[in-house]
Amino acid sequence: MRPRVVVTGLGVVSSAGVDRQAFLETVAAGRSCLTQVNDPRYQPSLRVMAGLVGKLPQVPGLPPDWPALDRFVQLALAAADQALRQAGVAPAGMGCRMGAVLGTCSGPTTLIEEFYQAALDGKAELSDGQAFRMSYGSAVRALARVFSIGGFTSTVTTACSAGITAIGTGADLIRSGLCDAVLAGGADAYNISTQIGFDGLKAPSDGPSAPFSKPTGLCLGEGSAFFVLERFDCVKQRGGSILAEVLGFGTSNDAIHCSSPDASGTGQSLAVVRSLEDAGLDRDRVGYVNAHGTGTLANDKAETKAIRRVFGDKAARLPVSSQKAVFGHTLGAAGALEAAATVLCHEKGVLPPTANFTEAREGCDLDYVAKAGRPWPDDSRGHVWIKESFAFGGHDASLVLGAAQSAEPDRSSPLPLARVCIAGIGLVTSAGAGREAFLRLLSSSGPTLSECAPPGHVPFRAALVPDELDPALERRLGLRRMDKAGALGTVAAHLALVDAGIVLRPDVAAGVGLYLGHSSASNAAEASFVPDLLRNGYVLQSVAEFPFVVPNATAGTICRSLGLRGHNAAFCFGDGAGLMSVLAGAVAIQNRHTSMLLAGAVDVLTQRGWGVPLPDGGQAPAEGAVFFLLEEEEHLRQRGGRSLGHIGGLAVATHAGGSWSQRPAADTVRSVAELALRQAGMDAAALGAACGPAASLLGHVTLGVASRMGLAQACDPLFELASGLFASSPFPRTLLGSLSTRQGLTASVILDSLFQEGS
Amino acid sequence: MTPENQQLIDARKPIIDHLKVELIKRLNLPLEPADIHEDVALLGSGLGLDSLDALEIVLCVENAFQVTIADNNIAVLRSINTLVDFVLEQKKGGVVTP
Repeated sequence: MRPRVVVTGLGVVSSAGVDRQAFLETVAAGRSCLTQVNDPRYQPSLRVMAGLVGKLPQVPGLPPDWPALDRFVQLALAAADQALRQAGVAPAGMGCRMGAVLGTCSGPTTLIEEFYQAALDGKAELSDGQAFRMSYGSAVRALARVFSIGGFTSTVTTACSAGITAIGTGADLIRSGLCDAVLAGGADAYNISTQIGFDGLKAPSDGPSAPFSKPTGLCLGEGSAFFVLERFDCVKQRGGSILAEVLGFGTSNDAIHCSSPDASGTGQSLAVVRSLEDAGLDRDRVGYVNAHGTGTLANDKAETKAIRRVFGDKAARLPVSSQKAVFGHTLGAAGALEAAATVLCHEKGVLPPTANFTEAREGCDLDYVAKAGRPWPDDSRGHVWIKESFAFGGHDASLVLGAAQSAEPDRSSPLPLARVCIAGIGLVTSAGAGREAFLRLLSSSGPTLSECAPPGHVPFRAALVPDELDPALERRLGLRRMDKAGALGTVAAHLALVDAGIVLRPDVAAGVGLYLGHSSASNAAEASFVPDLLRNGYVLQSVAEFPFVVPNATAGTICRSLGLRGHNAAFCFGDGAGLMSVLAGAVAIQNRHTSMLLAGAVDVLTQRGWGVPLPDGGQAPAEGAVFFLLEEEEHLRQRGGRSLGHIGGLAVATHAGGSWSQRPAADTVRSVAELALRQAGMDAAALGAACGPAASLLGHVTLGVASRMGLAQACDPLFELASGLFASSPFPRTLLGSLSTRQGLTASVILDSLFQEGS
Repeated sequence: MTPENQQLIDARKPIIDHLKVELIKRLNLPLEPADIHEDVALLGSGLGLDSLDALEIVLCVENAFQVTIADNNIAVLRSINTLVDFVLEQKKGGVVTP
């Protein structure tokens, strides 16, 4: 039985207030806090408004030896501190039983701009410290350090749905038994290059935004919100107070466009329907929808259609509102801030209004709780709410939340955890696409290296993937208009599906999910868009690349090209992100979000991502892509597929103390490996083979694929695992995969019953 | 051919050439300039470009020729030729160079 997940702490920082009380009063009153943007760099002709926080409240400090971090980290620390204080949990005593998941869209973009400016001036610093400051993962690392959080930590990078996806992912970690508590939320700081990108898309409104009303358009904002999520029984045991319950989580991908929503509302409604299925609740139980409601013509119309699709005739009587006219569109923080607004307003008994609403826009015909709040419906329907968020990359997400009153022990428990198998592997390396090329490279003496000199870099040699991969695949998958990361990812994902014997008919593709892990979250679009703005004094020259600056763009491209609309997310995990992505994907299948999910990583040469000299062994950096097709065991059996290995155990810990660049100690790596072994019901002696840093600690020899193919930061641990799975006879009965990263993570996974069928 | 017609063709050619090269570069189109006919529909069934590409075309024309295309003026984006008509109309009598 999966444990239930409740909310015991909330923290909010936004233009509507930097504490719960002020925030609640502003939101409940529908008072708009949008103000004129006065940035000297900004073109005076473009007069836009935004929800700006101004001076931040005192935040818990990082150690003095840490580099100064981005404003989005400060926002996150301030909100997380409030949430943890309210919950009264003590993460330090919980070890790896407490995790943290942070969602962000623009992350450290202000620091990234500074980097590109320095590069243009010929003064770019590419030290480890600078790379860390510019990492999307810097905030969650700071949370772990300041609050001593030692479990599964990750950064969700699904742009404007990241806040919701972070909370849903946090709930999944608890339901799958990996954590007892998770700090989950989102943070984003206002940033001028993001504003100019939205200007180029003609998205901003003329004056204060008015979702579902007039004028059309959005106003950006900044802020952060965090939830402390806990196992229901743990809270009962310690006598803690419950604020709300996370009842369900669902996501989808539109698989239509990089920035515009599916006008039919299909993808958005899929996410909501999936979250209700996850909650085991009928749609009639829902009493309020907190909308994404950005204010743009495209979003508000599609969202209204999606709500009608889900709720049918009942949609007209369902209160729906958006807070984006109050504190702006806070991007990766939006879902978390708006979910917090819902919980707090319910406690006060007020349905939060849609501020600035004057008259309904064409195509927007629901009850938007216009202008002023009103009493919350007093029936049982009033106790169940939907919070939905939609994003660039087509990433849609929905949470089902319930009032504290619903958190009584008599609610029927959901299904038990599903078992997860690996059904297929797709690989792209510098030797080309496919398993043959991979094995050829593995048996070689080393990869072919090319000279690389991205602007601002000391020249270096790297194992690059050739631009022309396979003409037949290029035509079939439509690779020629994609950037390199999108193309390599699409090929690897396609090959994993082929390897698993999946024929990707549209109805099948609609159910296949995708988790993509990034190491540093930098991409070619960023390296072109940002410097271009800087060179031209913040006057936009090109907008086509802006929607691809967000780190989930690659995942969106893969979903679009293959038509994948299943459970979906993108993460920044640091080095070895591919393996972490497989672990997160396994958790998603355990929680029955989908029966098939592609999990993996892509590494391509980028100006910012590859700047730092690699400290480990000096292997040349390498490009590549890898996807594992994860499949629910029962689904695999029913379709007569072959399992490459069943995921018998997995464990993750974060090194919470010390410096920002410290790898976990050997003892921690070993104890996490042993924890994964115990989960799989075996001891180290029974292990057939092992990969990664835990291998030598358990007396095994690891292959070290990086010496043969170069070091692909994100893909490497999955290349190791793949090589372990392909190893010549005798096949190992069990295989351990592991990693330890400069971002402080260590993880282990146990694959058992290898080649059980069809071998 | 009348001298007026020749003059008109001469005025159009640099704009057409510039637009084709820029669109291929900015939109990452797997085409050569000669592959794009001046009358082919840019959006939808022709070149298959989408709403984001349309915004890019607007920026490209606005920045290169110092003109403004109104948000609702979708007709201008129909083809290379309609874009050239628009630019020449806006710059009536003036010298047009990208």
